[in-house]
Amino acid sequence: MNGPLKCMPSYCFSLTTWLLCVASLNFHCPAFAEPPEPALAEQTAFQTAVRTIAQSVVRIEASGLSIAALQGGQDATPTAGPSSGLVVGSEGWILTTEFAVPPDMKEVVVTLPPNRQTTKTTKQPLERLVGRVVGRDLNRRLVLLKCNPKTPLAEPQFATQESIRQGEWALAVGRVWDPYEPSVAIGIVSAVDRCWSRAIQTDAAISPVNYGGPLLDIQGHVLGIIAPLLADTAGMETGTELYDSGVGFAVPMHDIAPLLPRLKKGETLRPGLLGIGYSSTDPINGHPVIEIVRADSPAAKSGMQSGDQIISIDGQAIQRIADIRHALTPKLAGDSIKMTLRREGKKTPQTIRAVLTDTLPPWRRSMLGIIPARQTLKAKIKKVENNGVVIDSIWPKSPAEKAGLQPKDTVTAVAVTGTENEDSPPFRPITSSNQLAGFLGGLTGTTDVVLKVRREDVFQDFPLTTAPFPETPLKNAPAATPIRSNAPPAAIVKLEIPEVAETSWAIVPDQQEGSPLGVLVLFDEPSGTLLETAVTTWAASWREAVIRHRVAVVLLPSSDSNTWRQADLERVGKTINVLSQRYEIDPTRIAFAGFRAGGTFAWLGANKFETIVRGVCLIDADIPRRSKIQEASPERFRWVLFGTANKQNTNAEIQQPFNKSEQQLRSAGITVGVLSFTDDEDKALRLCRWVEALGLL
Amino acid sequence: MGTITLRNMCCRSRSLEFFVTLTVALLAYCPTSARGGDVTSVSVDAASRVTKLYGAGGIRGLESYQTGILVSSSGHIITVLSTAIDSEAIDCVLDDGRRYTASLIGVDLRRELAVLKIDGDDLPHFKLSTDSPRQAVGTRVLALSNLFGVAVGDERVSVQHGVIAAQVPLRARRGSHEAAYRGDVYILDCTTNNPGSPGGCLVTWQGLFIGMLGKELRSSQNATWLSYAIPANELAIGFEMILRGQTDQALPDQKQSPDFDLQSLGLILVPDLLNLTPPFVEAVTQDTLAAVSGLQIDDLVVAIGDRTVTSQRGLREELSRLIPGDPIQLSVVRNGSIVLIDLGLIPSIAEPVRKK
Repeated sequence: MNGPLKCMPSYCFSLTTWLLCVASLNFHCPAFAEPPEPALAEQTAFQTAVRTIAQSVVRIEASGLSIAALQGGQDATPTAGPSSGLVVGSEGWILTTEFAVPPDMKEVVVTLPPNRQTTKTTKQPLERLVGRVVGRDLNRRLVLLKCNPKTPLAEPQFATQESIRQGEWALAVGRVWDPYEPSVAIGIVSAVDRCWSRAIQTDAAISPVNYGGPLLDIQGHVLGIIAPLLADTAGMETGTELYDSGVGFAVPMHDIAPLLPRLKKGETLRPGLLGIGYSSTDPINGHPVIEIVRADSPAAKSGMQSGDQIISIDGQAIQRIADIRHALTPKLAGDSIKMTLRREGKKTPQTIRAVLTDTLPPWRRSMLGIIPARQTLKAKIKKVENNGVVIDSIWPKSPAEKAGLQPKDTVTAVAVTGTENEDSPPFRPITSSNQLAGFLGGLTGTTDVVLKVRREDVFQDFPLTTAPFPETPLKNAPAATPIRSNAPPAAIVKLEIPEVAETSWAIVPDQQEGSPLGVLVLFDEPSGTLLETAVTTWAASWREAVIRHRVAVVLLPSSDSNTWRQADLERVGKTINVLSQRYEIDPTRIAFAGFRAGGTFAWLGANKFETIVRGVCLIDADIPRRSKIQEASPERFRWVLFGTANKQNTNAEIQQPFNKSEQQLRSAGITVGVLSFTDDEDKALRLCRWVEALGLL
Repeated sequence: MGTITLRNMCCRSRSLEFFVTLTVALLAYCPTSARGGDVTSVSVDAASRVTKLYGAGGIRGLESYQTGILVSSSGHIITVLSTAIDSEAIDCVLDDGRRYTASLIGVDLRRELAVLKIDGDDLPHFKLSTDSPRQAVGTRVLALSNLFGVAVGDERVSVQHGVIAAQVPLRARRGSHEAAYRGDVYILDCTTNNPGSPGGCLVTWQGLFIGMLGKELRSSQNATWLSYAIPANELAIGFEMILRGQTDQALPDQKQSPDFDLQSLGLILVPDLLNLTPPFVEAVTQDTLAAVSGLQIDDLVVAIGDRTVTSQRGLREELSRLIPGDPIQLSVVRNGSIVLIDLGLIPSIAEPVRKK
């Protein structure tokens, strides 16, 4: 049946099959022939396809030993149960996913498909083999195993890249339900080039029952390996969140096949990093203009400069940041790429080559010591910002203070000095605080720079050396905005979200006009509904801080009176949205803080909304064990504070339950501060000052 | 695959047009043919044999509605035994809007099956048969149910499409409780574990009745939600038993006192100190089943029969499912490869330990 059908779209396929079936049935028993409907012909085709692949789909399970290795002597949660794998070499090469074989696991048990002796009825156990982990592709979450079968394993046939088209049949096969017979789920190819060009998407039911199994076309050819890839959706941590949702992913075979020889040699393939950041704040549609070139990164070594615009990568035209991500995300460390760049002042595009790396040198945010004035959208639209970055206040004892910078000065251009490179870029004009942040993001440690500053219409150069970002917010606000005696009181506003029962509240400065608000979302210990009377009590101690530092303090109730739940996290994002519809908020000053259980929850929330949350403060709380800690980077700046509310408590052990986390965070390059509060008002003031300081450059 | 509408089925309408023409042409040639695979007519026909059930329920978080399947012309209805039908009067609404009050005839605890009865005659129904053949993996199916209670009044129940993904014994949990039914089920690739779906009907695309949708349960293997159906022949067995007035008791959650244990096999494992201590052999008692069959110190047990075990607790659990007379085979990792150890049949408790 395979012969005449190759490479035909499925509707042709069913038509042909139908004709063939009709023909054959009629031949056998013309008198009673029942013309099979197309639906039945397709059903037969599904079953035939699964039979074609059956001998190449194995079952993967953790052995007791590998679990013991994982838990390292401690109690651990069990792994996710059995998984599937696909034969990719008759000598015992099996491909599966990280879901079945998490990092650190060295060996697993591979159960082979049944043979003549081991059918369901013979009661002879299936053949089991030890599978050793040989190679890993960390970019696609795949694992290559080697086992030693007595007889060669059946190798599957791969589909060609051209044959993978949206709308074609896609069959998801696994060997988790039944070791004797593969399971199947039917769908179509929903899309190709998903997850930044790393995956085929299907609507066949994808879940732990078929991770590691093949996604097939109607002929039983392998389109890809089903894998719990992380879509860019915020908050996906394990890749299993989308199971059975109509969205599933498979890594295309045509991407894996060329990597197999390297995996067989025992290589660990890692995502390839270039070390750039963009000037646009829109990570998808923004212009592909480079803002940050990380020091000592492949980008820096290749000669890329801040301000360059990428116009092509490996021949692919680049128009938006999304195009860069599509081009670079599938690449691995060690891959060489060719880029063409447009550089200001140069007429012809530059062509450069870069070899991607697996790790960028550690990055710590450096600062000048200025807090720029927050600009309203109106001012931005009027392009007032084109004149430079206006300084609101100077951080005490900072390089900026030492150099003699003052509030109301305007930074208009910057340049790195003291580099041996004679071709070092001259002054780069600075038109926004984002740009200045990008410039600082490309620096490492302490760097000599010179700022061009306008003071009362006179331009002056200020040379200074950048300093590491401070760790603890100041006790007193730098050059605090004076609070007028007739300042309006802080207002309490209700933030109601459609279709959500619980009401959230915000304490905001009661004046509509003014600079954008910082946002501090507070998570108290879970107590259920939050009444206005309780909010009024809060407002008493937060009022001054809120007005002085122009921060909106958001109070969220937990949906359960005993615990913070995952579902509450969804509400956090919606609440911030509602707030931003009513007030202009400053996206560089969004922080979460929480007390005890609320502190841990604040950390989880900050992880979920990592692209918008700059600061997390845990008061009398620690980050959860096993929590994901991502390396700091210019795009993902994070300032973590550990606070203790009770100043009387002198017991060091109780005061600092976070000692270990503090070290972990620091080694990931994250700015960590420790502070204690004397009373509620002190807490309010210092936290709001911290929100203000998040914008420090 | 989601809830289907006619539109879904028409995605391939271009080809269908061809088929309609060709089929018509061929029908003339094969006048006796019984048509099959027409999703619309199969759905409409099956829906007339399915009822929406509304009971009391009332416990927080549990639905008070589900689905039932008519299985006799005089009004017998099978459905899933649940709190929804734990009620004096159960409202039962047919696809033409006819409303009946059903009474509970009996239950089968093992299959979590209930039989209801309404007063009627000449009702459309599916015939249950204990000989109903099992359907193969990959068979296209339609699932009809009162899912989410969206069908009201004379509205037909909703239909979903999918295939049989697997056919395996049910190993499921609801919360911390193991599901009562342990027999084979059809696992479906469409999501039928919805409120209101329990008791729904599963038919092939030819309209053959093949099973009843089960409860909202999670797999005990990996905690994913299960979409499953109990096969028709099992339903027939339960139904007949209930009509005879018999009850099939639920299987006990765990065997109360295992007839044998690791010690009686002669197997001593390393001290079980962790939550998931690997089942390493620490010692083998002389002249025991374990010793004669060749188990060695430092062997790591990875499977018993076809069940993989990853911890000592898992091994004990699997062992407790066996009864004397069952074959017992252990797969152990020894020097980096897996060795199969056949311990023969489990001796009855009275039988002295076999000696060499």
